[in-house]
Amino acid sequence: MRSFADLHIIHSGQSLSRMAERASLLGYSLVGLTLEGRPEDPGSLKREFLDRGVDVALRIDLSPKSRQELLSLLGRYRPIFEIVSVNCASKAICDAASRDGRVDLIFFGEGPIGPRARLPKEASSALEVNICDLIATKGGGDIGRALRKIRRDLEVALENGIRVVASSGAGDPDGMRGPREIASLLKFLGMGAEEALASVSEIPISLVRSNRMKLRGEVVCDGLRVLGGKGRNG
Amino acid sequence: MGKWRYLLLEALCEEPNGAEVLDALRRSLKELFGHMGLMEANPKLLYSLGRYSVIRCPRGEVDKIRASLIFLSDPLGRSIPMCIKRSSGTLRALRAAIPGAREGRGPPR
Repeated sequence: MRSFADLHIIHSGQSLSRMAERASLLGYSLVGLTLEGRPEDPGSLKREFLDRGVDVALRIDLSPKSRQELLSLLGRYRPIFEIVSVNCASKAICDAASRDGRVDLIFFGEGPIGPRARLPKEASSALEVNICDLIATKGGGDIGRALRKIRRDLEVALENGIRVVASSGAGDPDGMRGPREIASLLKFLGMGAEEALASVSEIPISLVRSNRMKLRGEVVCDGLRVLGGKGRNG
Repeated sequence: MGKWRYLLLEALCEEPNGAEVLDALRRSLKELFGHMGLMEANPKLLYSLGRYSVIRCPRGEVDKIRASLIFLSDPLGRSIPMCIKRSSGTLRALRAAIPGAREGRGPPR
């Protein structure tokens, strides 16, 4: 049976237990919980979800204004968070973030460059598509514009062979949506059926799994893993 | 013939009635896929109980229904979070998944 993950839900205080319940109802087995800054008590945050059978990965969204700021933020936060994502507000940040192995996800916010940015072909980060951009348009925004933005993001990724992760980006429980519903929408926006399902299941789950191994020191670098315990070499 | 697909929808908020769900679904389909898309998907409400509704749609149109559930909202624009709890090719197979159906409150055989 397929497991599903939503790597972008935003910690907004009071509604955390409701979000945990909703994630469980929607069939997610893993969520990425976005925090601002260092978590004070990550154990209690995680417990809300773990009690409902949902695994949690702590995440931070970085919005650097320059390449130097990006590198400084990565040095500070990479050892703490299981998922690091970067909002690409300019071409320089997009280039730096997509090539830096410490960045897991990049997404295009509403900026002057936004989705027109071209990702380099050797990008190591995955591109994230947030469904909340669409749901927010129900309040009077232009749904066609929001759909075009997501389709352009997907075109950029598919053109460059970059992995795609689809998330809700929700700050409250009502913004969360089911994984198969998200995958169905991505199909209509140009992705293949299996690719769309992988973007809410295998890709985000394997990303978190490999990051946890890196944080535990089990992976030296990509493709090189430490086998055996500490006592093996004396 | 097997030309229909039966979907068990679960509302994740306060209980909307079946007619409200169908209206919201049709609005969402029309907004996302236009009149032609709505005509092709042509969802029909068969049964509703509490948070659960059973709808029927042509077999090849399930993805349209799933995608339009993302945008489900009431006439005032408030989001109605729903998901498909189960889908089946026959109504009989779906009965087992409908809470209360075994006590005789499910959709007619």
